[in-house]
Amino acid sequence: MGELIGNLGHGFAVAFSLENLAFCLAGALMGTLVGVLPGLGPVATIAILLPVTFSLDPTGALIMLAGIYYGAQYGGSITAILLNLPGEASSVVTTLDGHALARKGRAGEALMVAAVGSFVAGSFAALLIAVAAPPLSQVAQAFQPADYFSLMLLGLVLATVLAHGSVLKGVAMTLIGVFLGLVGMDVTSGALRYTLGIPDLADGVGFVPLAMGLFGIAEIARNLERGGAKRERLAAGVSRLSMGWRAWRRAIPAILRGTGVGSLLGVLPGGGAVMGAFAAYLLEKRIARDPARFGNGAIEGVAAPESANNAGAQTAFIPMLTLGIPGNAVTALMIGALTIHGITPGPRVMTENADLFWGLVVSMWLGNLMLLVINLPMVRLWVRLLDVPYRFLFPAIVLFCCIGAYSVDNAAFDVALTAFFGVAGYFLMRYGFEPAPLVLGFVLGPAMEEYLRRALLLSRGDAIVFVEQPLSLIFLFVAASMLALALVPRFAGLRQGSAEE
Amino acid sequence: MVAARGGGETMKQGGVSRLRAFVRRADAIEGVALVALGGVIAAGAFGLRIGTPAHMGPGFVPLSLGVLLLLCGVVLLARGKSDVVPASAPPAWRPLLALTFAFLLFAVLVDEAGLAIAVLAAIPVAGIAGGGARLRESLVYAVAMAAFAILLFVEALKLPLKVWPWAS
Repeated sequence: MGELIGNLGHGFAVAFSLENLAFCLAGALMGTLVGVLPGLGPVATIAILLPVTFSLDPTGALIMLAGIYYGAQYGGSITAILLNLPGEASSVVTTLDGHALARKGRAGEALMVAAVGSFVAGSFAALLIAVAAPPLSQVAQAFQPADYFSLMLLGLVLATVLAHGSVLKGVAMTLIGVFLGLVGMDVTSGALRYTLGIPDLADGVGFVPLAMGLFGIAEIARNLERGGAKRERLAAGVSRLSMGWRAWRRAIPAILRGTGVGSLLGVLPGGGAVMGAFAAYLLEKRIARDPARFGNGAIEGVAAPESANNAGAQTAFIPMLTLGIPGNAVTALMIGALTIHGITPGPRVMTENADLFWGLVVSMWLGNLMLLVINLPMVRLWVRLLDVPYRFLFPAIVLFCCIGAYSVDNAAFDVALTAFFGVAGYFLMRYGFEPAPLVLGFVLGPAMEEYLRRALLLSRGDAIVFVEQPLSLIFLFVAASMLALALVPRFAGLRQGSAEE
Repeated sequence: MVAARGGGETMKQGGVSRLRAFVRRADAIEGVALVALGGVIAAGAFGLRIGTPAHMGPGFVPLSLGVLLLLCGVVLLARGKSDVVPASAPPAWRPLLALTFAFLLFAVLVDEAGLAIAVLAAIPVAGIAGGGARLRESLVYAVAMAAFAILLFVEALKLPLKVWPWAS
């Protein structure tokens, strides 16, 4: 307990530096902005802004990038409620009751509950990271190479099984990602692998071109394909930002339940913010005395998912910070950012980069506080931003991508590579291949190969090492059963059903 | 004679439509693509030393990945049912080509001609992706973007970028 307070104190000292406060605010506001704008999500934004953060120190960079992720959860709720337009996938369910409330002239209440719920959830999740991370990283310090390999495999399997879309295609994308991670010089033998004679590929496929292309450019192409979405304006009902006690009595338990569900599901790979929001909404509907109210403006239908998505956005950092294992695209991008800053992700981050870890945790809480205070009065301004035509927005994004991809290594080749991955990403999405597992595989691939090599070297090539060690055995068992469950048609049908509901 | 020609045509049509049906049976293109990609990766691994499990060469893991990928493709083909409704609209060639061309222009120009010219060239081309011929607007916008890029990235963030063609 005393140690926790000491650590948090350390975090406050780091997070309260003028620079880090500014990064936190910038990240949170940028996150809100992209949360409001449909067709520009936190993943694309983080991918596009990665190079900009390279000139910052790693702590500031991570504080800002994290702010974009949870800030987007706030922003997504604004358009979901006012315009029936989910700015983010995680606020899709918020449209159901949030927009119904807005049509009844109670938009102020919905916005208020969303903001307060997000704040409560964010504060709890930050505290949960502070409490849960140190023991987890202690456990991880004792991992053998075989344990690590099996854990990473489990992470990849869970991420494909729990994410939406076809499991088989997810597995294929993961394999391609791992393969792309191996391109370039092999560390052990020095051999060049799959460089196609291109000298720029000797250092491997760049993380920034890959992420920017798959998430940024492909997204622009898809948005342009769809054309400008029609928008229903409903900003009139935001005049009153207050709420009666009776509504609060319904909302507060829902906020707490949503926080719990979201925190739990956020830790799982493949989850993050989206799954928590859906699960929390379903839970509220199931335990309500009168489920018919849902869809017609039940305040719990806003409170629970909005709390859950924010909690999940933050607890998703737990496996990333303690084990070095990303559970979704956003945390994979963060791992990429850490690596480029020369920090090896894993259990040692907490001890060797204590400033970064505790500063990040405290800044999450501060960022949530900033969002609560700043955002509600700014709702009208955010909504007005939707009037900016996309034809002004996307050339600016292209510019950021070009300069960003180039400036990592001053390599023009990386700009061309970005375009290549953009086209690839567009067609992959078109044929139902999700890019997220590919990026996870790409990030984990090199380390997995290394651990596999070491584990088998120690066991003299005997694969039994993976089932002899208890931790490794457990990880593999869970991974195998999850994969089997997802591929067996009967259970796969169940999964599909829950995703649709 | 007429009947025979008619019969031949229906047979031909039958073959074509069966092929069409196979291709349209979603997952066919995807399955074939995965098999091909897995095959290429696995074949490429033989150019590297494979080694043994205890002493893996650089080709060991890529070979395994290629084989697994190939298997994924085979399963996808064998299962033969799709979980995605195949997209009926043609791909968005115009945005795709315009965006790709804009990136390539930037890549070609930035080292020699500098940032300013690269932005001035790439942004209007990217603008084509949005459709609608707004030439003047797009040129004015490109100039504004170039100025913005120089101020933000070179002046404020101090990235080591060459701005003008004559700078060394």
